[in-house]
Amino acid sequence: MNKESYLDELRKSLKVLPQVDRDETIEFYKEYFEDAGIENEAAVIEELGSPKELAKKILVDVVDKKFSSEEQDDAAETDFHQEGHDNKKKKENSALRTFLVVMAAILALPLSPILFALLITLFALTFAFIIVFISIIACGVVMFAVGLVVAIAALFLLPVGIGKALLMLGTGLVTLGLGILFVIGFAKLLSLFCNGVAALFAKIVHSKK
Amino acid sequence: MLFQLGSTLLDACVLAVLSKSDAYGYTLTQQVKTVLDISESTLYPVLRRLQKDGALETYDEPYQGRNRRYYRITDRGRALYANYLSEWNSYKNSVDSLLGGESNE
Repeated sequence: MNKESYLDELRKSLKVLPQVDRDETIEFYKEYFEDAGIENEAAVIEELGSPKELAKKILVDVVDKKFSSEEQDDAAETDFHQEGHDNKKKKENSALRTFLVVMAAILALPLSPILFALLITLFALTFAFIIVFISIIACGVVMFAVGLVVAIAALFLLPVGIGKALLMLGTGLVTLGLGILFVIGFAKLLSLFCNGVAALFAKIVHSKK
Repeated sequence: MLFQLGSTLLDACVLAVLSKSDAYGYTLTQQVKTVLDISESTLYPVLRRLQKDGALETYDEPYQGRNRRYYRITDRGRALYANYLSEWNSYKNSVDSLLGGESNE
């Protein structure tokens, strides 16, 4: 393997990184090779390890950084990418990017088959939980809507009998209230849950470094 | 090396080297490597992080028909380095006092 093929392979292994970061990384190592001199090419390659190993180290570092300074990073990042008008879109993009980098780093780690299976299971469980949470939240929204309709409909029952109307109004309001409770409560739980899982994954990545 | 080098200490070492003079990737690595047992691949993320934090800045200078990227310490980097240095000294002294080595105090 020579310098060119080494850098080529490194570039391929870093595909998941944003273009700017990848170019910068490649540029650094290219320069490093050039400064070391052609006669030291083999020695440099030996020291750096295989392109895959090097890429792994770089990716793990990126993940580590993401989790250790998430908030401060967010500010720096928008700055760094010269922000945009569609800030929200960018943010989503970066969340997805983070997820991909985490996945790539986890896959790149030296995992035993058992640990790997455990991680996959954990992922599946996480996914299932999130779906359940979202369903409950959707339920809450429906309850809110139904409760509102019932409560309003109760007003039209007033001519029929005040007792019946009040009963219906009460039922409607209870449903509406439960709906609000479900939405807010489970949205909160969902965000707590997501943070917990993210922290857990960060811990695993870190301990495997 | 027997003792683990934490990332903060590595930051401090890089800042220390750069506080003496600007350097490009290769010489910087070589200088740190003469003292510490680290590999090239460890240093690149450190430089990246320090640059992102505003402790370092880079500039390019032509060298034999290509550009060489130099790293320069910023004021912020110097302040950080001074901070690390005093932290390190007090840490070193307290460890020394336990291990029975000589203290600077």
